[in-house]
Amino acid sequence: MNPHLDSETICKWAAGERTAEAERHVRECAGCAEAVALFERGLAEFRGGAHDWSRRLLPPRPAGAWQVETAVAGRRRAIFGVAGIAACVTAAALLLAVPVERGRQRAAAARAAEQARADQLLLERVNAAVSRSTPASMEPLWKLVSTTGENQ
Amino acid sequence: MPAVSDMKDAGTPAAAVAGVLDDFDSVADAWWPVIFRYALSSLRDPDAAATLAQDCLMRAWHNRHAFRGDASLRTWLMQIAVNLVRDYGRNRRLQFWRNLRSMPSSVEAAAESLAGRDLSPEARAAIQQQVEAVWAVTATLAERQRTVFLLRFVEEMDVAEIAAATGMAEGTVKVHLFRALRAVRGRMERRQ
Repeated sequence: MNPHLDSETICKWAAGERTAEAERHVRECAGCAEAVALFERGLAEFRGGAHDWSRRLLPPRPAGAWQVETAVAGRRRAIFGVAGIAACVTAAALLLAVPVERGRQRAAAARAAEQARADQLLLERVNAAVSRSTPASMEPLWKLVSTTGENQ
Repeated sequence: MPAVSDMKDAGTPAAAVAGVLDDFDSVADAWWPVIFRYALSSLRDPDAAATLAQDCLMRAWHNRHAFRGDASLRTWLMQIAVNLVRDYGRNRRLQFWRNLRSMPSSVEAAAESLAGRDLSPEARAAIQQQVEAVWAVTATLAERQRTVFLLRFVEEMDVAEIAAATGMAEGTVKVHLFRALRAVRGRMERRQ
């Protein structure tokens, strides 16, 4: 028969590392089988005690801390949702308003340019009239005088 | 769809596991006792354990969209719990050690649970001693050894799950587990 299991081998056994040799020895040796069983029983009782203790002290789960957060987040989403829709509508209105305003400005500019051209023509006519050496009302007389002088 | 509490199998489709998080109340109901138990056995303070378990579920809820189902739900939740316990121990070192050394009602609870069984007084005393020895040793273990030991022997997780939950390599988990068991066995032998 193999030598008895030492403490380290029993620890390895409890950790789940069991060699074929150790398993064979435990089957054949009542003393080692008892030592292994005693150690494993101690660990099992420890587990049982921990579970019992925890069951006894287990408080009720605080209800829905995340439900509160979910509700807050939902409300926040709703608020930001409304604000978001308002922002989108504003942005769309601005986007639509820009070309309309540009068209309006362009038309106004065209009107102003037309007015400027008309003013310019009027100014030129006035200027021409003012710049004449003989006023328009004196023109026939002037022509007559000029013709008479040439004939002489 | 599998039950929330059964979401431990590697074979569970990731989408099913991830989808179950949509009903987070069911997840919380199923895992609240497990997380509380791990926190209680680690911290030995019921109030701190309850706070930590709640914190764990809150974090899981906040990060639920990041859970892709690569690990089991249990591994994922225990990973959060392990990190919280570690942070708790580091942030409240003095209180943490006081709680661990106090060997509180855990041992009394074990004694009460033994009292209800049909055992001889000698057998009951022997088991009681063993349980006390294990509680006493876990208080003296290094942080990683204690974590691995509790996950293995209280939560009954296997080495691969413990490795996933703690971020250690499987070989490292085995080493810590062996050292913890050696310490426990040494204490048990001294008491006998």
